[in-house]
Amino acid sequence: MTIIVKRLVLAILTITVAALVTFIVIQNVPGDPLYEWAMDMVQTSGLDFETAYKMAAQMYGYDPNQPLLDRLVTYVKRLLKGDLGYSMIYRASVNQIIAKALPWTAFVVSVSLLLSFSMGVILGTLVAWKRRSILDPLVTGYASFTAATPDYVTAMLLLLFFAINLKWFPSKGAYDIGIEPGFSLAFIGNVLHHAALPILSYTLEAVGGWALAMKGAAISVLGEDYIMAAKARGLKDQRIVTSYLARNSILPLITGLAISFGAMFGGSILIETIFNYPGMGWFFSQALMRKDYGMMQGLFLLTITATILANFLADILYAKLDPRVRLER
Amino acid sequence: MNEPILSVRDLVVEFEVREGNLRSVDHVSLDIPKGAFMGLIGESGCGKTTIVQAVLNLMPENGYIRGGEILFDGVDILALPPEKLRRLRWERIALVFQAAQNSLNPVLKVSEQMIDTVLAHRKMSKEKILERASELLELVRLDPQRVLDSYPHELSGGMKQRVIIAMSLLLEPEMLILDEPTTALDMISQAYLMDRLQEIHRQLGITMLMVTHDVSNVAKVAERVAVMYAAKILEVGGVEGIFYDPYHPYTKGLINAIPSIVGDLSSKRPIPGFPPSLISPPDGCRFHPRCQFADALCSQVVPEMEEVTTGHFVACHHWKRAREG
Amino acid sequence: MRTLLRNRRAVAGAVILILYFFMATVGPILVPLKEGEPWKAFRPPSWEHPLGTDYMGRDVLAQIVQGSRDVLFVAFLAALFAILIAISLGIIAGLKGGFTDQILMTFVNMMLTIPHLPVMMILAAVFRVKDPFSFALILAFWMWAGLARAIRSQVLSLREREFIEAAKLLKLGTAHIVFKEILPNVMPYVAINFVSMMRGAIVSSVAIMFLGLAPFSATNWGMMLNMATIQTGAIYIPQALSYVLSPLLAIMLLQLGGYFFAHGLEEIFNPRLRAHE
Repeated sequence: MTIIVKRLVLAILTITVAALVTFIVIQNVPGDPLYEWAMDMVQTSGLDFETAYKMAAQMYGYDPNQPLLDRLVTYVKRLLKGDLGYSMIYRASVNQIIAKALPWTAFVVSVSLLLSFSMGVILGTLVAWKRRSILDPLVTGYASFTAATPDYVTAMLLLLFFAINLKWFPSKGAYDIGIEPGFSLAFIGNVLHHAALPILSYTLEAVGGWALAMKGAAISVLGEDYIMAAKARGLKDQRIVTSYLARNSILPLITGLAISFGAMFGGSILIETIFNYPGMGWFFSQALMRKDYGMMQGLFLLTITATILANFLADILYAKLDPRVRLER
Repeated sequence: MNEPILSVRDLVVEFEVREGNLRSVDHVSLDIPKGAFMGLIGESGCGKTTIVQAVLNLMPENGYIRGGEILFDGVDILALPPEKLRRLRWERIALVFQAAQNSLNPVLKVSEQMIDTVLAHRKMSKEKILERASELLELVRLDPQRVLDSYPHELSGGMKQRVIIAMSLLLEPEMLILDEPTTALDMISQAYLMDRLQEIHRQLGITMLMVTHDVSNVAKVAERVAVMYAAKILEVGGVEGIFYDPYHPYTKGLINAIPSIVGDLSSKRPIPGFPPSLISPPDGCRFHPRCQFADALCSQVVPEMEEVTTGHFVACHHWKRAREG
Repeated sequence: MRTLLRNRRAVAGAVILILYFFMATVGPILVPLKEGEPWKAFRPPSWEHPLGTDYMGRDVLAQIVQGSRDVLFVAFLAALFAILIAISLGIIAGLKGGFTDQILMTFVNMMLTIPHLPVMMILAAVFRVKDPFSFALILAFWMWAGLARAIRSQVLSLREREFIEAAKLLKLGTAHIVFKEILPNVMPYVAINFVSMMRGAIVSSVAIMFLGLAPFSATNWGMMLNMATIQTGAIYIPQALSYVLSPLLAIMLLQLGGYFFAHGLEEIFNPRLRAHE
């Protein structure tokens, strides 16, 4: 039990620290962001400056005239209520934005992870099992090439050639404007069509990495006595590869899986921006480019919490899968 | 003496290592009679484990069988197609590796591995398999309730060893080969294990081949013994013949070097010198650099196996001289 | 040295890196930036402009060359800062042990679980990075954690060895121990990681600039991409293909070179990795 508790405490601690640091950073923005917001509102809604400033303060979540400590308290209270702030650009609460954006990001990230992990693991196992085949240099070469290329470069190249040049795929949005959302085949097909290139960007990159990792793990498992013993017992190749080789090799990769999940949220910032795909990353980059600090803060906190939770779950998952790691002691 | 159940004929096995080709088994021929309990003894690195690996064609990455036959029931194992070879393994010949503790898959329970083993060869219901497994576990004096449901890391070294031995009997093989079954076990577990092996041999009548460098254990359980040195077999005979009346100078030296609780330790003498390199072995008789009876002939001509008394064979030019000296 | 040359990957990587280094140092002199001629905007490659022109009619090749200097400089600084921080903290944690060690390690663990890119972006957005040094600092802040942990373990294992005991007995002082005994042993590991850190810094810095968050240099490849795609939409103009493609390929090639070199180095120092070739 103690291991889980320790990890949980660390997770919560990290989230707390991150929240605090975000708070401090945003408070220290040079210049006065409220001023800009207020001016903007004066120009667009014709309010007088006083009122506009007060409204900006409310939306931003704090009153700059209050001492730091009071601001901190208000902030913490808000967070505990689940309120992640307000976006100036979109005039909506961050929670609302998240509700719209998160499903898209989660969709793309999950599919990408699933595809790349399963393909990578299968490839890696095959390469390790069949020594000295053509597959080995092919897979390794591919993996090296894609590992070296940053994911946004791949994304841009894909966009350039497949969306703009060849026009095989759309270059923006999660689905075409004219189509009714719902569980119709047309809608789902359209969604997949739009999501194809973003998913491809992640997957092309990640498959190589998983394959290499699995290959490494599998090769060291193959050196173990029980593989030879399994052959001596006359077990069929298929059984050895699945229950003896793969199951033992995959264990170290599982932790990597959850970590990837968190890391992909970071990667989604650029990929979604490049493809104009309305997920968390896209909104985050909008916030960054247009200096919407409220949204920046809120989205960031959510991403961090998700990442840290994912890591934590990974640890638990690993413990469950490997009978040698004892939880209750 | 019975008909041989396993006949190794002129086997040659090499390993490709950085320094060159290491010939681990050099034109070895050995017959194992049906129903016998045979021991194969020799120093570490003499090639005995390699013979065992070769029997089931289970060479590691850099090992190659360069020549010879291994006849089992008239059929050459080395020439079998993969599927027939797979069926032969464990069904007819079972092999228990050195350090068998690591032979179990860490992520599967013992019961699952028992089931795996049987289902790879026969169709049987899981309940029946577990029934049979329980019987066998009791044969090696293990508690099936406790063991079947455990993961390998929950069992002690000695227990895992016995689990593997029980597993080896699942398909009622005709022959059981054990490679160093007692290394890494404490003395008490060793004695216990030897007793169990003898019991199995007597009750089930399986042909057993035990490969070990622990000469005293062999003396206890074996009926026939073969002595191996530097990739070659030097002497084969009944256990009493080998231990009380050895012919080969090496065997004599080996027996003389065994300490015992009773008896005078001062007369114990190790064999002077070191075993030769198997990449560039000495010409002629492999043992001649360390042998007090060696002469020019020994350094040029490899001695052939001769039958000196019934069922007792020696490969030495001057065994007569050795018996007098 | 001979083993280095025998490893094809390392050699290929080194060649590429040397080319880029050459481009970064000497390049801007050979291919100077010139004022643009706006009527020549978005031209495809030609003899005069081998990589075409940008939205202001400026030569793309000159920008790439100049950009290599910017990118490599920032990456170098970032790696340097990160390594300095990592060595200091790693050694302190390893030598002092106890409570200090615990705190530092908890801190390191936290840094490692927080995703780097979003944080760096927020910092860049908030603090409006105006010069390469502060940019490098922000980048370095998130890169030192892993290395620090590795250095700490090395220090821990070195600590037990005899020559440290001997030095202690001779009362040679902590400074001596650190500089004469520990650092030389840690250096090879650091050197190998330097290239990897630079690679990481390049990827992150270009990403941040791509969103226009560190606009202090217009020729940094990330900034070029920003101008080409987000600001001017050149990505939709077929003739401007080389304008958009050039920075992309420049990044790719540099990363590949760095990757092969770093991996080649690793293989040389860790022969186990070569066993399955």
